Amino acid sequence: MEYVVQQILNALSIGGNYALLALGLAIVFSVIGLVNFAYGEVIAVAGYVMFAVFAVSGIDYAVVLMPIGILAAVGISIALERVAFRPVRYAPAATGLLTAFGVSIVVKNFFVTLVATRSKSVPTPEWLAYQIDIGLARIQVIQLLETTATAVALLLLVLILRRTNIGLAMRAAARDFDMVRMVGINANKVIAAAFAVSGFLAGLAAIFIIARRGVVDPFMGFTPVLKAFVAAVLGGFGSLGGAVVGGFFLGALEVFFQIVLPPSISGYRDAFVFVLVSVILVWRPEGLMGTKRQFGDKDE
Amino acid sequence: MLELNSVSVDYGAVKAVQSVNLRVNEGEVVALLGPNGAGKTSLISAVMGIVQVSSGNIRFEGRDVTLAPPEEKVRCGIGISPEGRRVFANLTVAENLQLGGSAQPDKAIRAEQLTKYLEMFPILKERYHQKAGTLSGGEQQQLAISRCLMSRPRIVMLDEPSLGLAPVIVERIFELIAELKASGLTILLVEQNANEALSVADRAYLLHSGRLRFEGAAQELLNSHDLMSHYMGLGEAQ
Amino acid sequence: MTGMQRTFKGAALTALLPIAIALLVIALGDGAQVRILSVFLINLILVIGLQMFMGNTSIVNLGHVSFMGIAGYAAAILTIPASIKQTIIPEAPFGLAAFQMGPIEAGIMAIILAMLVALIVGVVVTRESGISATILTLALLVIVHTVLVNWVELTRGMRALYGVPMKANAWLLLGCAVLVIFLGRWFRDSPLGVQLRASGESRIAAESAGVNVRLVRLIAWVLSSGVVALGGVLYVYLIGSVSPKSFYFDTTLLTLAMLILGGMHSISGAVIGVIVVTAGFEIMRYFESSPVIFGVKFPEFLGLTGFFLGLIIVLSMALRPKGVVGTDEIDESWERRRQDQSERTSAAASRSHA
Repeated sequence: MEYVVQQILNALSIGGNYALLALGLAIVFSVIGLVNFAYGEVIAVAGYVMFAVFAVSGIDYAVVLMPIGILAAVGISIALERVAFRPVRYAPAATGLLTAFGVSIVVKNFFVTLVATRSKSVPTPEWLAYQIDIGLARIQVIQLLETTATAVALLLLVLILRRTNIGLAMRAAARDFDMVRMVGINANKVIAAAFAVSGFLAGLAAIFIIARRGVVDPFMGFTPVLKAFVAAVLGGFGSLGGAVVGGFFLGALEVFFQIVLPPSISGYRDAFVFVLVSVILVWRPEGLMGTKRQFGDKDE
Repeated sequence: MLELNSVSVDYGAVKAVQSVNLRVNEGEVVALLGPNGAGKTSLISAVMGIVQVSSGNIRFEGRDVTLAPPEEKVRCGIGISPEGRRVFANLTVAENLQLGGSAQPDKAIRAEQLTKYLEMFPILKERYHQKAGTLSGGEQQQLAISRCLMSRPRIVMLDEPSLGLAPVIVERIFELIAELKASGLTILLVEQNANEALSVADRAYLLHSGRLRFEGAAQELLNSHDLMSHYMGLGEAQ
Repeated sequence: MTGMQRTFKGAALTALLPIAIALLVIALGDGAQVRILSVFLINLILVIGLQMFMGNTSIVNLGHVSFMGIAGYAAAILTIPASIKQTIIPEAPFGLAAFQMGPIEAGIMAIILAMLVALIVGVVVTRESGISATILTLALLVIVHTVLVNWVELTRGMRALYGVPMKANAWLLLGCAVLVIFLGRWFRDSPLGVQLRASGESRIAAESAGVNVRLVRLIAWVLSSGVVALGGVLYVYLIGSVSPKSFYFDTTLLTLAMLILGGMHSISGAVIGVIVVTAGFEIMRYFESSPVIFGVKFPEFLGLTGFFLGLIIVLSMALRPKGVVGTDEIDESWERRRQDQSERTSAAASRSHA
């Protein structure tokens, strides 16, 4: 019993992280149809900015570094939209995808050139690793924080999407961008907002990713973006609710594979996951639980 | 108020609109008629800035707005209820109306407009918290019209408001247009449904294959059986 | 001039520049330069292979390098002497550890194997269009890489398989590259290629004109994979060893950048792209290794080539999404320009006459 509860808690905290990441990809996709593979680099930037602040000023308080990391992620996300993605905004989806790959390579190599290929350590507070007894299982402080932060962020996002004008505009733009402009809403603002939200979610996820690793390196964004991408496809790309579900599903799936798969084939985990992605893409493009909509299609 | 000077629109090699001159004066209802494929919606999209004008210019209240993006045009006071209604199906009626008011900075005016149009379109009040996608065609049309009125535009362009609706609903929509006219709103009404449109319009333009074929009083066009049957494909009985 | 002649002439013209470069380097270059040339020629084969599917269908393919990997590994495993295999992969399944083959037979087998896999995968990929199809090719890349890394008994996992006979020299590579240029151009101009390009512009229009879009795409996919597989085999025969990291995102994005920069809709675009990126890379690599210029020692700039590669992709997407060459082959554009010019001169002549 304890073991089961423990594993469920693990799945929740991993899944929460994936949900944040997937949501960040999905929100940009839903608004402008861009599969933003440079999203992993937003995470890396958050990490490197925290590292730089620490290295220059010596500040190692998590309460100072964390908001800085999140701000950096929001900033770079908005900046990338302005510089790299705006010129290809009305181009076919493939053009945007390739631009994103290009941006990803540029940012990665920027860190390789200016910092180092080797990883650099970022201070993580000891108390994150403390264990708390919660009756049936033990939980790490970081897991607790992560799950809470995910829940709060999701709640906040729901509020924004339902209550604010810009939130409504983002949801509306997911279906009919031109019409949003024809009620007088500035297209650039809606897109910038989508990138800001996306950056915020990446920044939040980045904090927990870095807290676990304790180091930053130029290639650290690769695995998270791939996971986010998988989770988003599982949830039906572009569906925000689907991205969250996909994230938790992927978390659960990974924990499940870890328990069930014998060590000899556990290395094939990624292959299984991507076979699943293909199956879903071909036979259930609306995602695991989505409504009937073709992948990436917008309503007329 | 709204003035189009030799406006042309191309899609690659296809000339959708050729050198159209069109004028809408304050307080007028102007009908823009033409059969399917005449270029009416292209012209409206060009006025809104959704498609680029390839030559000519568009002036609104004396100001050149040819190159202004759609959001800026709405902020200047041009409202549109587009062809096919295009309500935000995944948003509620209330949310659709809220977005419709985005271009109006004055909160008091927005509230006033909301009360006014919920009164005028009582069905929207009834369906206020329903998703717009669940509304019937006629209800969606009413929502699309009131959405564009939320920002209190000085001119509205209604693109095919009767398209695809049952006759009894079409009648209701034209009654509403007459009501809006009575309230002093300036309207550019784009229609295939010529007789109904001409009955509410002051003046009319007839567009065919991207060119203007007629311009004048609505009554005059209504009486000209030749023009109507030739360009609108109406039967001899008309 | 018949269509076939025009195709042949165009291909010959396109092949001229690579042939000239190759002859120059073989004649004058040192060992290192010949090596760069060899890699260049292999990239040429890979990029034209990629072009045959992607350029004609306009579907971005991120999975082509998988076939390079499958064929590369197959050729390596078949040709490494049994004596070496007994030590590095003694547990290899199907009795492969005790088995070996000549490089030509092995190469052909490897390409056939890759094309068979491509056929199976292609049935699924060609069901989809646009970004969905692209994501399927991405899934393929990850799946094949994962298998290569984890099937340790057969592939030795992350560690390199070595001992492959190094049979590829610059002449062989040049011959293959020229052949592939002709093949690519022939395919592009063939009725199938024309149908394919039409379906890339509008699938619905092509289908209503009676084109079986899935079938023509499948044929292009398998052919394209075959050419990429040839590139993989030659690569292994050149290097003498294989490891999985050669067949992952780095190579995928490099070849994609080459194709996009040059212009993915034409063979000349593919060729120009490979030339430009290779040249740029060599210049960057020079700066990366802390060069001494005019007596000033520059610091080491690791990552500069990567930075340059990314920048190429971003800039060409923003400024010239159709590539340096554009939509048409170079000879086609020249032809058109000449026609325009002659029309203009004849028009001018008739005007002066009047």
